[in-house]
Amino acid sequence: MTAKPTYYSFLWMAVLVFIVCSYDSACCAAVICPQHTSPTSTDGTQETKNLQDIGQLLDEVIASDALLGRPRVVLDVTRNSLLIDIKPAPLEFIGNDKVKNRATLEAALRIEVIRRDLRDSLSAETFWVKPVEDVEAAVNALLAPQDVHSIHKPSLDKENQALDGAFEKLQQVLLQYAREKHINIDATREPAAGFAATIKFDPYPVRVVVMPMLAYLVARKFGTSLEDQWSELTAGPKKMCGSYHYVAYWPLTLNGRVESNFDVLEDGDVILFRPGVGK
Amino acid sequence: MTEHSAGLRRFLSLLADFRQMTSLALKGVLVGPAIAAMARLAPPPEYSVTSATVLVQFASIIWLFQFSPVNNQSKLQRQMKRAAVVFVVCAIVCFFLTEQFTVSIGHSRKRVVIGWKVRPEVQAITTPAYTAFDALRGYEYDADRVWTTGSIMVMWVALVLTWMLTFAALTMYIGYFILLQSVIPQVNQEKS
Repeated sequence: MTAKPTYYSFLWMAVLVFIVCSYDSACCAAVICPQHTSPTSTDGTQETKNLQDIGQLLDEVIASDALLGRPRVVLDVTRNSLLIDIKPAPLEFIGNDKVKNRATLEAALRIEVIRRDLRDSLSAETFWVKPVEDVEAAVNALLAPQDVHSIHKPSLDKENQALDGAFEKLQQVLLQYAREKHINIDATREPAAGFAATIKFDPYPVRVVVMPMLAYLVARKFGTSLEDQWSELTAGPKKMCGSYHYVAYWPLTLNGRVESNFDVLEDGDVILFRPGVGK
Repeated sequence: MTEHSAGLRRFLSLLADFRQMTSLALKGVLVGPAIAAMARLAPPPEYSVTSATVLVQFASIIWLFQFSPVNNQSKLQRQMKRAAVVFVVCAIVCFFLTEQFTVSIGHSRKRVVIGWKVRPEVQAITTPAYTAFDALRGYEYDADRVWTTGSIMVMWVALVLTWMLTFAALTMYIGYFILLQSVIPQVNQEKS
């Protein structure tokens, strides 16, 4: 992992979530929570939040968080391959379920990462600009204050559908580009269906990234990037099988980063992560 | 009565007489693959291979009843012996291939077919302490990541063919036994 998560990532995420929660709880006009019911500020003017307003904050999170900021579109010229990873990150990484608009925040972070990657990898191309702007518009629509009394306002479901559709369209244009240029597509791999295992964290949830053991060994042997091979591991029931290599990012007070292996070899295996001890 | 209709009649009489001891033996052979699949002994994918095996067995019985020289008892006996030899040889080969080229997934009884040619990138990291089997466990039991696809396919085809041939030979063996014990005396009785 090139960008290691530090306290800053947690700090910036906390700030972002705090702002969101503040908007939600204080019922102020500057909302990014779509469920908010007070669309006007105290002086009567409608104040909206959009990606530009929170852009700097998103950038800080992306820069300091290895998971949320991980590359999603990478053109590898030597291998003639294009990594495309449009799928959403687990919402647990954004905040707990009390944060009502985690999905919107996740989408906002995701499109910021994708825009950053496209600027890096496909700076000479312009085909992606419009689809990215469409996604950003869909995110902005969800970030904008909602008036529940307005019968003309499209429903949240429709806006969410529009967002999903915009992401899908973006993926399609990237795939189309790869096909036209005869570039191989790299897709991130989900863990295979396997045994019913349970992932637990003690004393509290921590960020854990995991990849098949063989993928880790091969990448280390040949010096290839591990970046696109990590999968996020969250607490709860999972389908996994075989040996895995993982990195757990505990706070420094709990011995910090732990890197080790674990096996899932039968149904009912419980994988317990503890700081400093590993699995 | 033509030879074709006679074969069909013998086969139908066997089906109608399915509660008889000889028919029970044949029934046992037909459910054998299903039992083996439930015991996770069949090559993966178990249920597809089992279904195909039962079809092959059924085709073998039809072939046997249609084309067997019922008037030549000594020839039937020779063919029965051949079926026994084929069954034993195929069973041994199948057992060997299963032991050598299939691996249990974790602690379960489900198996995955492997190849014989390890991929170069995996070869580079295997040592006496970290074998190709460890590598297989290290990639969610996806054999294609460890062995070449061609070698896996060859082994899978060999395994499935010997598996089907084993049960087909066993079916033929039992079928010849039924012919010799029940159908031929019946034919001789009809002649007399």
